[in-house]
Amino acid sequence: MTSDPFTFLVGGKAGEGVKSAAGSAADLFSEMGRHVFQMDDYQSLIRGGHNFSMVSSDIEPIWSHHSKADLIVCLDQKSYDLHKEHVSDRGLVVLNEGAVEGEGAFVPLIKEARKYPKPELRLGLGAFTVLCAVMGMPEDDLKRILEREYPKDREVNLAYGLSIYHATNESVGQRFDPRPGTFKGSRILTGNEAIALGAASAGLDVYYAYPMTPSSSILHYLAAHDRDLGVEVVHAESEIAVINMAIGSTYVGARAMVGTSGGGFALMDEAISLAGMVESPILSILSSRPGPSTGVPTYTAQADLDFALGRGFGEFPQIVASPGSVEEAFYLASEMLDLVWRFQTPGIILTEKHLSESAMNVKLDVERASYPQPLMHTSGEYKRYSLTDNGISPLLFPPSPQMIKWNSYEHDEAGITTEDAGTIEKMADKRLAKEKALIRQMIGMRTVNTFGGGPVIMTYGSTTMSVMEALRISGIEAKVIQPVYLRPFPVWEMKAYMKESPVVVEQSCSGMFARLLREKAGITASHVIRRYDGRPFDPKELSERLKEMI
Amino acid sequence: MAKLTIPEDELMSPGHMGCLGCGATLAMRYVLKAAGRRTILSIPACCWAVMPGVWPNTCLQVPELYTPFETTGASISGIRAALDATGQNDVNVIGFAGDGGTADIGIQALSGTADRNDDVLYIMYDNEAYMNTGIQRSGSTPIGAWTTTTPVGTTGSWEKSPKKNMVAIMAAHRIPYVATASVAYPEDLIRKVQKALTIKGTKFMHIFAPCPTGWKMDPGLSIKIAKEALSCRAFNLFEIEGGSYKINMKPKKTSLKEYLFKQGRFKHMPEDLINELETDLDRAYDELLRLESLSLERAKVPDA
Repeated sequence: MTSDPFTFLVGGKAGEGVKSAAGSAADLFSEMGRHVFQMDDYQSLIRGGHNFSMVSSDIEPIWSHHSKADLIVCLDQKSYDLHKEHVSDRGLVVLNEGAVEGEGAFVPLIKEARKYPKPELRLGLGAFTVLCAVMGMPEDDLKRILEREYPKDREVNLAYGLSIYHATNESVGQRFDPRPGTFKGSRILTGNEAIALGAASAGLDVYYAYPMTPSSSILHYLAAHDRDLGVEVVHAESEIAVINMAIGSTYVGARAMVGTSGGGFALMDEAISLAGMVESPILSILSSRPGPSTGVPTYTAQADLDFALGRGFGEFPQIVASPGSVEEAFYLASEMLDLVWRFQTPGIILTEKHLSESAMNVKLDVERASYPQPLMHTSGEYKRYSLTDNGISPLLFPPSPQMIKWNSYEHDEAGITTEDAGTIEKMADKRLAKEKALIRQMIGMRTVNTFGGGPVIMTYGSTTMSVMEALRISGIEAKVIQPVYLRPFPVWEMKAYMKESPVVVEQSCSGMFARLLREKAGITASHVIRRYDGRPFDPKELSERLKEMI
Repeated sequence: MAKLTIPEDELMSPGHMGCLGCGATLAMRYVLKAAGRRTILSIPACCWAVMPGVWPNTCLQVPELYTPFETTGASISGIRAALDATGQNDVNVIGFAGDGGTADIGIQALSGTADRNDDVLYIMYDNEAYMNTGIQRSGSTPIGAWTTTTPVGTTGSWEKSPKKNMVAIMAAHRIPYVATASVAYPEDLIRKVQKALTIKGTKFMHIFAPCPTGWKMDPGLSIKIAKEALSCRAFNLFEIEGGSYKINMKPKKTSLKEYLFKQGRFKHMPEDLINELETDLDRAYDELLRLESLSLERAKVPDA
């Protein structure tokens, strides 16, 4: 009966509790000590959209959801029509009796719910109960879990849940037996939550944002936990305000972060350039969705790579990095906050909807988070832009008895405006020196992840998860190279692969990442596997394409 | 037989993708009825960027330009300039934006349009938060409201600043026509749109549009709550034509608390905050009455 990974898919209309059913399933598997990956697929629609969530779990680390599900619960007809082909060989389709026509086991989800007020709102709970029943969960355990997962309106939810439990036992009975694992004591986080927590662990003082999917959940999460985390959260009136408020905050010494998606980041561009000139340590989160323009707001893409790498006008150092897992998102957020403060220059964490809004269960070591230790002015007359060997000038924040000027105009060491040819050149050299110092620092850091051995596959960002899962389930032996840092590009590590002709996997139609590898490290891909329909790769399909190529 | 005061022509067909009880869909339907087919719309990111539908649904039967969040004002100015340049002066140009896209990110472009007095109608449909992106507060969110960025929780972090007065801001631009309207009073709304479109220059309308999803209330209450908003003075119906104020309805005062507590977003509001808000709203209404009487007095004085 057992075979891993086990995938649960629940689909229905917006407002039927699809996402919460999947969240409860993720909690359940996580509590069993299993590794969990949850992916929510929803449309940018207010009503009438089709939503579905998938939870894949395994006793071994799992990197992605799987498109073929073992249990599919269809709350509406559209779920059945769309997902009937997505059932695994041993899989089971459960249909909402009276609301959905098709082949599968009928369970009276809506019929039973109609005995209570607001029946549609209970369907998610019903779908989750179906999962518990087909896993053979004893009734007492179910009661305990329902009380925990659905604490509101407890009596009714319990009565409804039990009626679905008995109905499922009658019509299907136990069908699956996912094994308990040993990964206990983890917590389930989305990529965005991990970024928020990573930055908070690194002493984030203020988060500024304007809502834009798929970055908004950083704003929601930090707004809901502002006091616990000691982070001030400001939802300003536009992205222009957001980033300039953040620069203002860094001027007086606060660690500030901003988050947005492509359209909002475009509005921040002038300020990124300002941050380069005044040497403001600004950390931005750029969470991608398919573009150009509005594009497809609630889906995923890696088409903002060139955009992220080329921000701001003028020449100044910038740091761009992209996490390849929820866990990495946590540590990278703290490391990036540290780096932008050390080098007093803007940095971008580039991520995608697929990581931002997907969830994994992780164990995090908060003590491992870096805490920014910028170079501070100690004694004597203060000059904001004092020339040093590595270009890094000590910081001091107003109010202060010393004069502290951050100047967007070209300036001398004291921050006073200049048009003097010699000073202009010196200041440009100073900013270039910072970039060189940054690279020296990065050479001592882990900037590229390598996994396994064999033929080389190169990828980055959230696609790393799809590649890792494709290899894991197919048994393909390959070496996965994932540059975490994309600017400055870690050529010192990547040049070792110049003679390789890797398979490149990315979610861009023109192959931006493959182009970056060629331009920066002289690496020419043998094949570029691309997906650009807004959906993340399915590990099974990806493994089949990889098999053809390596 | 009673005279039909609402134009029959439907330019918004069935099949919109709004929620049950959506006020913004009614606002669009009435505005299009008033404006007619010779109308071009510009719509920024807002619920109405989504509600026209994803294929195979599409419900708006007039040309639309979807424009970035902060640009509605600039976009309609550009459309008007080109129509002028090509001598097409029988087309209505309407910007149709939400409260966030107007009071927050779009205010600069809107101010530019009004400053140039470009011949356009700008409509702000006000559901008092960013509803399309997940119920975040906007400048138009009233004091005390829960949103996802003013999440209440255990910390009492509900909306702390008063609703931005967009009508006063636009009136201060000295544009020829500024009005408020409500989806609960379609005849008044349609009359105002029709009047606005006969006036040359920049016109601004603020339309009150309840959002059951974001306000956490029964979708069946949308019209009732819009009526109550008027009687409890949370929203007033008036117009400012050539600088003269006229209040269009003066209903008997009803309880603010009852209005608030029909909506889940205000459920946590303490008594003293409600009283404070009530005093504030009453004062605003009194000011409006004074502006109206001042306007009447001024009308009596013959021009020197």
